[in-house]
Amino acid sequence: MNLPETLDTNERLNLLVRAGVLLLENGAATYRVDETLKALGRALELGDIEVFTTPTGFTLQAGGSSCPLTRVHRITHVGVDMNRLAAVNNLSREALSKALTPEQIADHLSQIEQQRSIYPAWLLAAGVSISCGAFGMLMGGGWTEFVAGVLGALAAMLIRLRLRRTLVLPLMVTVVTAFVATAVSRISCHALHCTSPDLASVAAVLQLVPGVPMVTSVLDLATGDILSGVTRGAYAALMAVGIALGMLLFLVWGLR
Amino acid sequence: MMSVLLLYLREFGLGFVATLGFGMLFNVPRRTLIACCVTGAVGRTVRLAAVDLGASIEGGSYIGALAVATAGYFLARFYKVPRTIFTVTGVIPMIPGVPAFSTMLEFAAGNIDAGLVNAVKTMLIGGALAMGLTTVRVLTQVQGRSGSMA
Repeated sequence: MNLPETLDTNERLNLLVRAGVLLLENGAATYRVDETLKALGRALELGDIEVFTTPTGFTLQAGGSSCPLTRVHRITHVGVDMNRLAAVNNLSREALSKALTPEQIADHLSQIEQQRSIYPAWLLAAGVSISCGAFGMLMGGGWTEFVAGVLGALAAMLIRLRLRRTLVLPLMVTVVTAFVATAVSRISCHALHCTSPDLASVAAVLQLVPGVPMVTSVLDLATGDILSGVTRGAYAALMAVGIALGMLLFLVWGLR
Repeated sequence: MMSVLLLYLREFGLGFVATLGFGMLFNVPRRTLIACCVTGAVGRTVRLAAVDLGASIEGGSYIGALAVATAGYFLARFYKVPRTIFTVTGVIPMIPGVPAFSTMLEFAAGNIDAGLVNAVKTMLIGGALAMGLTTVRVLTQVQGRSGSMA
């Protein structure tokens, strides 16, 4: 196979870095990052790639031992975007099967980088709050708990969407959001005369549960990426503590 | 008999709705959103059935997670997307929210004993969910990775 040599090895390696950033910033498990980058590396004719991936950064080396080229990249922003993960996954498969040129791969990557959320903010807020209300009923609550859970979750979601752009530390966002969710759901419960206000406040904060870090942590541990698994588990535990802290701030010192 | 059926339908419906918001929150591709919701609903319903048949809540959670992971395996092949899209959204409705909340309340109130009881319960249910997902993952891992420990 003879690719037109328009992008040199350095530029092609940079494409791999962009793919790695897309995967790690959006919640991919470690083995998926490794496998996807290796597949893309083959498609880009970079030869055998060595990748060392952790949740907070990755090292990438191409060119074998004779003339190695290395990239080190830190990951500072962590979020969840399954749509982007699916897109990068798809790209790595198509790059091999359809023999995409490096330029085409670069175009695809730019496209994925520019993808916005599928669900507009209002729909997201509505969907998440109704889900939280449904949780209240699943845990044994009635319709009053449903309504209080929805209101608490809605207030929390609006605050959260706002804070995500201003506050840098995810832990702070979690604490503040959990506080708001607890406060609003408790006050609504008071107004609606709920029989179990606890259920409503648990339901309202459930949206903050770090589901993706928890599951990828387990996946990493199961696939032998112990370092990543422990790191992600610690992150998930930290977020859980943040939720507890936010709730307690209201329950202990707020209106009881 | 009717009331039992209604109970299962309620669990399925609420599980479906409960997963919906998380699917949106994780920005799953639109064509997979309904499948995610069904996965979450199936997990809850299977767990309810297991508990009704005499399983503990921890054992039921394991079986529920097995169902979610199996569904995730087939759905991922069908839609050609990463499996985590279905497994992450699918296990979320089974998260032990109430025991976790009680743990926090009891510890905050100084009741260490009751806090520990709830903490262990939370971890057992969480661990059962993790084990359920891992079991299916290990059984369906076709090609092993060179140099990995698993």
